[in-house]
Amino acid sequence: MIRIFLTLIIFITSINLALSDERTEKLKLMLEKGLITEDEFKKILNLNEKTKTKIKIKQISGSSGREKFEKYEFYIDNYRVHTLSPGTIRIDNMLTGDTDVTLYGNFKTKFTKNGKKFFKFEFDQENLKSDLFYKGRKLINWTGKYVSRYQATFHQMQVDGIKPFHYFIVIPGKKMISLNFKLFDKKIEKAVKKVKEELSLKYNLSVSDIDKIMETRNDAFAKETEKIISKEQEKIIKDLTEKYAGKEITEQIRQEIERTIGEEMANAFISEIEQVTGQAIDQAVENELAREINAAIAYAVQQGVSEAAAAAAIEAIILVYAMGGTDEEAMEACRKHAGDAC
Amino acid sequence: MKSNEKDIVKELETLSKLFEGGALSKEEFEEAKKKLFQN
Repeated sequence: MIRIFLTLIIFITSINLALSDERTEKLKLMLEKGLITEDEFKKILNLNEKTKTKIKIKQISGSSGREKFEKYEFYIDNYRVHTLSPGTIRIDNMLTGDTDVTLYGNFKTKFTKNGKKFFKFEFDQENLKSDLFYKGRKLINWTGKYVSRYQATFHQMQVDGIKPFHYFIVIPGKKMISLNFKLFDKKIEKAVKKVKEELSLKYNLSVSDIDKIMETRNDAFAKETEKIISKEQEKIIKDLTEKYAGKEITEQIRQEIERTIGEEMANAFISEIEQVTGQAIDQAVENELAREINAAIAYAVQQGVSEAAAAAAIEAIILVYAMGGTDEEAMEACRKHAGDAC
Repeated sequence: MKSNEKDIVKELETLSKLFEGGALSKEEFEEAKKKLFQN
């Protein structure tokens, strides 16, 4: 009984942020009274999510949309959310003229009293993930990936969970570098496509089968993809570094860098490139998946399983998922080859 | 969509009042909720 009570308390606390308007307050009360179940509550909340006003992001600078660092903005109620400079987002209250919220750098924030009233910032330091809520609605999700080789952190800010808003790189002691996310996303898309094609050949599956596998919420595949994307982010930094390292920065090179990362940050980045002269690229994106699988095999070997058994187990898992099998079936197939190491 | 969502909360509220007031039995209340979610 106590456990049920505690579960209910935790559940109510966790959903508290999502409850903002009168209707959801009514629902919350019904849930507390036991008049509706958690499932019913969630069902209505999901419906509520779907009915929310869609946010329209507008480009406010960058003439061609491809060549320069672009500033974006969107409006929600009486707030204007906009990129002020690379790595800095401001949320201005149009009624008072105040900047109620500022997001900048490595997950830093500033809130006015009024800002604290309507906005809430949650930060998961371990995973470099954060969410900014506005009246209970998740407005901006902000994630970071640390690239140890360059001691740089790549940041992605998205609106409504999926819409790119601002991408930037933070290098300690340097100015923040903004990325043109349209170009960047194309590169990521290309890298993921390439990996899917490799998977397709390796396991004799169609690309649509691979897509289906990805949709099975198989954590292992999700993690593989995350790593691939992460590696691609690292590769972009490497590419820029290798391409220009040790070279005299001519006007032509400067223009090329500006096209990639934006005019405003070109000077800072050129300076960075000059410092890391001589660093070499020792790996390629096309080998990413093989490398990740090898890493998984190495890990399994460490756990006391033979290399051959680990390889067979991984192949078996992939095949089970490809055939539409469940997580349990995949684990069972894995255990046949690698026992408790699965 | 918005009106559906509004309606479902309103309907639930009405049903809850009827149930709490004793006009609906637990079974009738659950059955009515079930229909509401199906719609």
